[in-house]
Amino acid sequence: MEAVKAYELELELRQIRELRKGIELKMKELEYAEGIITATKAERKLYRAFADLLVEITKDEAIEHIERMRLAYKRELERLREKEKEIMEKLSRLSF
Amino acid sequence: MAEEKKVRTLEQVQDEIRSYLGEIEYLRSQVGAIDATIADLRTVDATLAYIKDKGKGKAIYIPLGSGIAIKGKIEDPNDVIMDVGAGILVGATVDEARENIEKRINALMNLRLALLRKIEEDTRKVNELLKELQEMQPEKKE
Repeated sequence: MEAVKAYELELELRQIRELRKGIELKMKELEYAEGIITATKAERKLYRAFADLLVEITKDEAIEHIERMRLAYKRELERLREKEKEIMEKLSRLSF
Repeated sequence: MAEEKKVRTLEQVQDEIRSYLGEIEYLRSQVGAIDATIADLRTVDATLAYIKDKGKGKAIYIPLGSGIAIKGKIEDPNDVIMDVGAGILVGATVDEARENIEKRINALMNLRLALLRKIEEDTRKVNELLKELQEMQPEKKE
């Protein structure tokens, strides 16, 4: 029974780690986008994709959007890290 | 203690070989994905070059999805948009877009090279382990 529980927990841990990696990758993407946006000249047009619809936005709006996304990703990362820690603790209790 | 660590069982060596083979397979699939992306980027680059050169005023069909397209006309062949990630797109000229594509291709080529090096390294390790395995087997029989 303990082996089944450990297997389930390990599976959950793997899924959480994959999710975390995905979000970390998205954070890098945000950094890249922010770098390009801040370096662009003021006259250059910027658009935000709402599904397939592109809406023109200002540079400030673009940076604000990135900042909001960054905060959301950070919160999600924090939640996943907590969950990961919790599962690790459960796993260590099972193995002893 | 150090010597104890060096002694590995047949199963441990086999496990290690399996793990390296799995990694090699994964890395090869990644190289395949990179190749597909590079091919895609080159197609876009060729399209941009053509549009800049001969696109002005040309009638085109703009894809709407699900294989359906609507007729349109290229008003300004030098006005394109580039996806920079995070749901943001930047207006650019064809030359800027092509420059961006070239940068992405170069970055992917470097990544591809790094992956190929890792595959080579892993293959060498597998060969070493196979040799070790062969040496271990007669010992077990004795």
